[in-house]
Amino acid sequence: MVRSDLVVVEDLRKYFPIRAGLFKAKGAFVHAVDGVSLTIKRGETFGLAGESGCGKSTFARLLLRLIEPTGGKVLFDGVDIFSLSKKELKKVRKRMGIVFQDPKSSLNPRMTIYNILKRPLEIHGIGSSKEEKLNMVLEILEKVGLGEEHLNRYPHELSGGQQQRVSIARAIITKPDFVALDEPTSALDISVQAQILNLLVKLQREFKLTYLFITHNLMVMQYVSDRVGIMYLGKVVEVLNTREELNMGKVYHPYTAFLMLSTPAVDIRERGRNKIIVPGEVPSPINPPPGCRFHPRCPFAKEECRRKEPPVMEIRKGHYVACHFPSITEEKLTPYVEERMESIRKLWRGES
Amino acid sequence: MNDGTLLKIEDLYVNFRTDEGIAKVIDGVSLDIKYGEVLALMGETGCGKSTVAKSILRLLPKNAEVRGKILFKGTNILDLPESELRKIRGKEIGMIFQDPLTALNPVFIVGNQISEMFKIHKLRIKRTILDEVVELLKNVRMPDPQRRYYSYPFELSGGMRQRAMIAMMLAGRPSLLIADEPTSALDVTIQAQILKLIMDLRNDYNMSILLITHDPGVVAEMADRIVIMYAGQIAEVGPVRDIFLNPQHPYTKGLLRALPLGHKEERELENIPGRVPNLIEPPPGCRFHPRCPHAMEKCKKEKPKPVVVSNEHFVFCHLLRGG
Amino acid sequence: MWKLTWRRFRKNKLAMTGLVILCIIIAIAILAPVIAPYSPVEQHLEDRLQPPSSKYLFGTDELGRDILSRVLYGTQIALRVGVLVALISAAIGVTLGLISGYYGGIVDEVIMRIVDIVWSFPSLILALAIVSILGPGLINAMVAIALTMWASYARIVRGETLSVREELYIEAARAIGESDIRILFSYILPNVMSSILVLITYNIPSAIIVAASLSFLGLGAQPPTPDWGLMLSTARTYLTIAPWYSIFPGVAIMITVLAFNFIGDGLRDAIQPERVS
Repeated sequence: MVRSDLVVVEDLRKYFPIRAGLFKAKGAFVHAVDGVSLTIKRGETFGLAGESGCGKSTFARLLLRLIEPTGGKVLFDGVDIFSLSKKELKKVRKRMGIVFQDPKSSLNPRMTIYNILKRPLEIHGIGSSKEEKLNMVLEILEKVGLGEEHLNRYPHELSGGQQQRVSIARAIITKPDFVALDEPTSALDISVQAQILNLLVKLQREFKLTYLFITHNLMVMQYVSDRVGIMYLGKVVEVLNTREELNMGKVYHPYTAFLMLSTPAVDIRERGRNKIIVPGEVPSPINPPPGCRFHPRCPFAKEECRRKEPPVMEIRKGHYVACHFPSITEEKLTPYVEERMESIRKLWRGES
Repeated sequence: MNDGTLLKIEDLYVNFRTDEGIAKVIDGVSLDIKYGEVLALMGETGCGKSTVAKSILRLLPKNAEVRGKILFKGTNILDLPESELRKIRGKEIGMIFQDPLTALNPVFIVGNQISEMFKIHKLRIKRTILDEVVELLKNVRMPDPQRRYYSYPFELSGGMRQRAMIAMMLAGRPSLLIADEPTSALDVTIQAQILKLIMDLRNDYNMSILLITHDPGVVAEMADRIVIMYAGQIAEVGPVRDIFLNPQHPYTKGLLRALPLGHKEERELENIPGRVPNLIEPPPGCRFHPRCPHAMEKCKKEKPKPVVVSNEHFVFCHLLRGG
Repeated sequence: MWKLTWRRFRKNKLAMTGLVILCIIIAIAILAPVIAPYSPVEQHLEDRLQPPSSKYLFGTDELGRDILSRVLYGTQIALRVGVLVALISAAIGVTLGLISGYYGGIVDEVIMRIVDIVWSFPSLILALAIVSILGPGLINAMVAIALTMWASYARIVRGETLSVREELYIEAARAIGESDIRILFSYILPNVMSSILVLITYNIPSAIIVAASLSFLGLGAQPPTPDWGLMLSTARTYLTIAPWYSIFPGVAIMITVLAFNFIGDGLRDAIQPERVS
């Protein structure tokens, strides 16, 4: 049976204790991921957006079980990865890959590119001979746009873009089903970013990959994802379809709206128009505010928002919002977002 | 210089002596900043934008060789003795960086550091220095300014540190503020606050701003004119609308087309093939020619001279010269 | 990437001098049987305690043995002792340091407390104590010294492991399924190697000196081994009548130790983090 939901996350939590020296935490925890439930469908690119401290990086690491959860489940193709033994987990690792943000420190500076790419094959027993492994490495190098000449080089001899390609090659050489990408293009120049995004899209189609794409850059998010989850302080506040909803500005959570409106617009004609800016600081995930996490910064917060955590509503098919009063956003913010997205759409269509 | 020009860079050349050879980082850059304008220097890694900014205040490392002129209010900064230069730094020309932690001393409270600016430059004050500093902190919209006077940099968030750094630079009421990637390290919502702050301050303090950035969104929001740089050379200069809506240089066009606008189902991103050149052995002539789809023989030999596209819009490209 | 280190090392005159001297010492050690005029244990009882002459360039000792030949053969012993001790203590210390830094927690606490205890004793005293338990002899002396030296490796490697552990490529290694042992020795170890190498270059001369001291006290090499320390010890008795007897072995020790120290300094300065462009 081929499940259409490849990854199912149920109430996932990760709290990091804050330790005062050798003594146990005085009850203070970093609520990095605080009850996240979502599904990632096979073959899609699920984007995860949010600012620093929202927990998206921790979330990615939980999905690959690089860290242990405080609570909740992650079902990968129907199996709870947190219940697996070390041996079984290793087998699952073959079907998952991860690409990190900083290309330079993602690669062992003392290993050649060949060795870096060969290791996953050796660990999982793929390829029966040395020649076969070499061929697989060469094949994957070619697929990511590199060549034989890079085999015996060291990471520091490569540019940032090339290093990221190697990182991607390493993640997919075992032909996984799922790849988590944690800010894969944030450290790259615009032109290199374009190359890598194109590459990722191409690879997804060719190898039938499912992506979790994490980024704080909303422009990239709008381009590359099929669906998006917006995170704030360890919780997911909105999940929506990218093309039909996010890119059209049909957002229902005030934080999502503010994120969209705060992003500097590449559209030169937007300049000078109403600048709607969300006040306050990005809060710390230590001791989050009660009720709705966003209420201290939300200009529309009401008493209920301070007291009760908002329920998750399916406001349209497949579109979820965690807010007590999404209609306020719809009335006061969404029109601006729609207008801006419309303007941006006109812009790039005009140019292409 | 009474044509409204505050800063004029003429034929700037900067080389760095390194273990592997001499890196020709800046190759004949000329530009000017007018009173009250926001000029953006935009380009990718290695284009030299940060180096240009640091040249203005002579903040380059010891292995740098600088040639050319940098005229600030008529005086060539590169000729000034250290003692005169110090009167300009922090007072006439201020600079803020991407990482405020590099400018802020971690062992002194923020208030002290800003006070230093008053003492060093012997600035006129109306009340006590403390009052002036708190006033500055209010101007940069620091929450709870009285309390924050006594905070150490590590106690502040990224956005607050950036505000503190801006306050420090505003003390001397500079005519020119150089902002080197001021918001690249900040979250989007905080970035919006800081950008708005900088623009408002520009109006209140009547400053010119030299904005160094790689983010086209920030440029579109803030700049009056843009200078696009590539590998130490200027590719294109012009008012922001002209550059975005009518780019002429193949590099500018390539860059704008590489922006991920739209959706993957609708378009594949165009990208510029190849890589940024090695500055120790840069390509002769126009340094973009190895990657340019329209490169001609001339491009490999001769550095392009500016071609007028329209009022104030110039392109450095052989392609556009009349036949 | 070692090319850059070598280039920087080459520019350092003192370091290169040390390297040249070391090469000469190694050459002597290898060629001793060929270049030594006499056997180091051959006694010429009729020529006892002779000053340096054309027949015996460094003079003779109390049993008529040629001091030059003994000094030349002594290089073999000194090098063997220095290198073996350094390598053994490195093996112990590096392994414990890696484990300590990577796993943390109680394992780290225990190992570090043992390190503290070992380190609180002056190495010579500790070596003496161990040798007195094991009994005199060169091999026992080497074991004793190794047991005092591993602590410095453990400390340094632990510290570096703590920072390397946080690097993304370590996380990536776990993500592709690498085992812990593999991560320790194939990922972390190569990246802390530079500090280890510098430490080894300093520890070799230290080991030589401590070994010489132990031999001097009669607890290390036993007669008739041409060990420099042992020679110094015996020479003490004849200091007034045969000063050359102590000078030559002493100078040999000094030159060897200096050579290693120059190399160590040069290596330490030449090794810079590769990530700084």
